Amino acid sequence: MRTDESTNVGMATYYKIVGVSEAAVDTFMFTNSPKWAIGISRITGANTSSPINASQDSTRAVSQALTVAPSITTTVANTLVLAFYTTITCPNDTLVGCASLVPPSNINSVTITGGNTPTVSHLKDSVNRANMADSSCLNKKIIYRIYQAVNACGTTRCIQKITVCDTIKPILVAVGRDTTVSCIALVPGTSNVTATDNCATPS
Amino acid sequence: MILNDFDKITKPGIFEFFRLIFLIALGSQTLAQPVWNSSSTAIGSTATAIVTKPMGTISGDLSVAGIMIEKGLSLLLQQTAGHLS
Repeated sequence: MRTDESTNVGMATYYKIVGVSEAAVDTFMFTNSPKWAIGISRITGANTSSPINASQDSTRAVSQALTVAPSITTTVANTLVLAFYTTITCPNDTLVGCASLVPPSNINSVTITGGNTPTVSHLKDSVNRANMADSSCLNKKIIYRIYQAVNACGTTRCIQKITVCDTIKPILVAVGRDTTVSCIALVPGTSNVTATDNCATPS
Repeated sequence: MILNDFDKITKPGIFEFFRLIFLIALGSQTLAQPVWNSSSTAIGSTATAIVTKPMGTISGDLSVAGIMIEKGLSLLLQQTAGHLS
């Protein structure tokens, strides 16, 4: 069974009766490389000749704080009902090398379809510097970018995590070669040595 | 049963614009009743998805796989580890 909400997100369910001598893993292949999440449930006691008695699916293309699952009608007693669900997430988490590279907020990064289109806004950026002592990088901070969507049914929010982590050391430029001079007065000065950095002018 | 594992593998805070739900009723045999035993999950963004079988899986168990993908429509599954749709 397969259903899609336009080109935004899709979900498929598959089933099988496990055979003998199967591999320890199940491998699924896609025609391209989408983001995916897979969950497999192990059920015992099912009818092996007709394991699926009924199925139903539904999609929603509008913001809803509460979604009602579709109804399902079975033809035998004592059935087990499984539910799988998914939602779309915020823009991808991002890692940048310095604060100046943090992308601006972009409400267009959230695709919205459907007739009851909500109004999307960038609510705020919340900065967490708790891990600044982490020696793996300099000037580390984490920005939690909160987007908000409002429509007649209510408000939903999501968070995009932006990590700022400078791992690139400054680069010295025009450092003179090793040299030998005949007297102290001929020692060259250091004024021509400069440095560059990916985030700021180093001192 | 709602598989809350899928909540855990998505980022905190979710836009609920696009919600998909599947309900599946599993048939029972004459005396036995189908029982959910265990599950396994995996996430990724590659063309090949490898998922460890749920703990304790043996021959004769029913395996039900829920596959959520971004994006919809344009994507097809080429291999399903023997699972049927």
